[in-house]
Amino acid sequence: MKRLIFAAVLAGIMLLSGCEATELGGRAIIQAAAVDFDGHEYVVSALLFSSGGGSGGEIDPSNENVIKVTGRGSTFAAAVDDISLTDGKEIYMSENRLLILGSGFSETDVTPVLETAARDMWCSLNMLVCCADDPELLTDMHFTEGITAAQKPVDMIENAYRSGGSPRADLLTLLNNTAAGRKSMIPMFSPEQNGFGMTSDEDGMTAVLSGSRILSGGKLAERLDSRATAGEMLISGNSDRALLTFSHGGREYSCEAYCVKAERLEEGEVRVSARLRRRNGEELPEELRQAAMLELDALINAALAAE
Amino acid sequence: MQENSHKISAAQLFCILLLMRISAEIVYPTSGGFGGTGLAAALTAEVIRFVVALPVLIYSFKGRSFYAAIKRKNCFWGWASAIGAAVLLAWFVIRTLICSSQFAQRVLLNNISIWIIGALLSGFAVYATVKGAEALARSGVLFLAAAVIITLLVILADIPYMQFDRELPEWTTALFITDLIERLTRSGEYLVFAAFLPYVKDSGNAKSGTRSGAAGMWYAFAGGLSAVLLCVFFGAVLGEYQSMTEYPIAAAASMADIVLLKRLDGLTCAVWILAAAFRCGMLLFSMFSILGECRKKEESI
Repeated sequence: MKRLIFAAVLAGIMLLSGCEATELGGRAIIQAAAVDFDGHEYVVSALLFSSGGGSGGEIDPSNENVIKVTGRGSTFAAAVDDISLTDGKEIYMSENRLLILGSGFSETDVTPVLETAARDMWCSLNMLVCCADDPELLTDMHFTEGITAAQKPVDMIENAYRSGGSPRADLLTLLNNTAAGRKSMIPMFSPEQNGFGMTSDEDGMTAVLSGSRILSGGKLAERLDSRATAGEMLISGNSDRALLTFSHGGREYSCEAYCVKAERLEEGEVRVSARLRRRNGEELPEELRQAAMLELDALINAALAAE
Repeated sequence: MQENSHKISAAQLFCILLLMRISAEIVYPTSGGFGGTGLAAALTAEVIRFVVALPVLIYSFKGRSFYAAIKRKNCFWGWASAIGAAVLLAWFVIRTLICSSQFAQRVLLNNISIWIIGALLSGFAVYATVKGAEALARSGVLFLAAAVIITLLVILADIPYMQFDRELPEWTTALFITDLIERLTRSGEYLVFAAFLPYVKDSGNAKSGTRSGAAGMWYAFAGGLSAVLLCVFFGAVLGEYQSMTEYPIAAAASMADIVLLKRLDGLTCAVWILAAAFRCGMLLFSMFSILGECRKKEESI
């Protein structure tokens, strides 16, 4: 039996190591990738971990252990291969944490890109997907926080999703919804000059979540602003909470709506029920409840108006 | 009366049969449908296997060498059944080798020739066959333990992604039939069960036949349960993508994130590839064992 187990372990070692093993330094490890279609070809900009830079423990723009490489090609796979040619390393996308779609996919079906990423590039199915008019917005930013180059925008999406302010779209959800003919909400980033210290640049430019886009029939369709996005998340059941800011008696108040249930009625209207509390967890006074519910209605109406 | 010098326990027999069953579910490519169609195909395949194997299961409660017993009743039918089983087992060996090599290349070793992978797996299977029933049974228990642990880790890590309220697709008869045929071609465990009956040892007051039969019945139940649980797990985690991917375990494990291990697909697939190689060894050993049993002049029931 010992010999048999030894043989199994030996076979495993041989199988796992492979005959053409690639050293870590020979791999272009993609941490975040932006992809767009310019009407003729796919353009992929990727943030690569460069093992030739710093210690590799954390992002360090001063040591330049994160580099941006752009590739072009007639297909997504060809564009990724172009990155490999430019960088001189074998592409490794399994650790990619963020895929940013450009506005070029308003006209072109993004499904082949998603399928290639899942099947041929072995991207993890829980990799987040977001969009931006110029997808290189996020790959051009040198975020100073995070273990990987993608961590800051990923944290922004996760945090906004938890508060009900922005959707969270991962590769699996998009593939499933596209296959079943359902619509998906994708978080959208926009540039903003509000982030001194967030990036290594000194111009204060950063990226913020500014609503979402609907992926329908494989193409990026409607744009929803932040309010309409929050409302649509409640209507679609993607979220059951929202942060509300409203005025009452000349003063500004903020509260959290939770356990929100938005039910579509046959007449095209939406019936909403919710529990309300202050952001510190205390009960919301009775006199503020009506104003808060009006604000919640306004979010729902913004989503309905955008449909 | 001739006794086999290598003996295994009924519990070991149950373990190796279950390992073979689950490894076939995992490493064989599937076009299985997500939802009711896939689940119905899985259950129907288990029922068909069980019904076809019922004579062996009933016999196992009272006797040992199934094919030798047939031969004693009628020499021609004894040999015909043994050769038929051996041919089927040979086909299952070849099919398992091809499928597990493809699985290994597709999910783990993209740059390596499928022939090299196939040769390694074949070498392992032949070596396992040469080592005999006892070594196979003992290592099978260890492989099953390793495979169950890694698969449980994947299931636990995928709990956050499970959705049991997914919209299910409509029933598709064509997909059901395709899936059912695919699943039936992943069989072979009951043939192995019949081949291993002479190796099960007596234990305590219970007769070996009672224990063998109980192992077979428990395997039938556990095999069906594991097929259903895998269907439900893949459906809950992957949704429609279950029908789009050939290897749902690799897709599900790619999302499994445990502390520093960001994805468990490599480790999971490596363990199941070894389990598939073990399956090949079991099938190969059973093939020779069946023919060997029939060649013996005297047999005990």
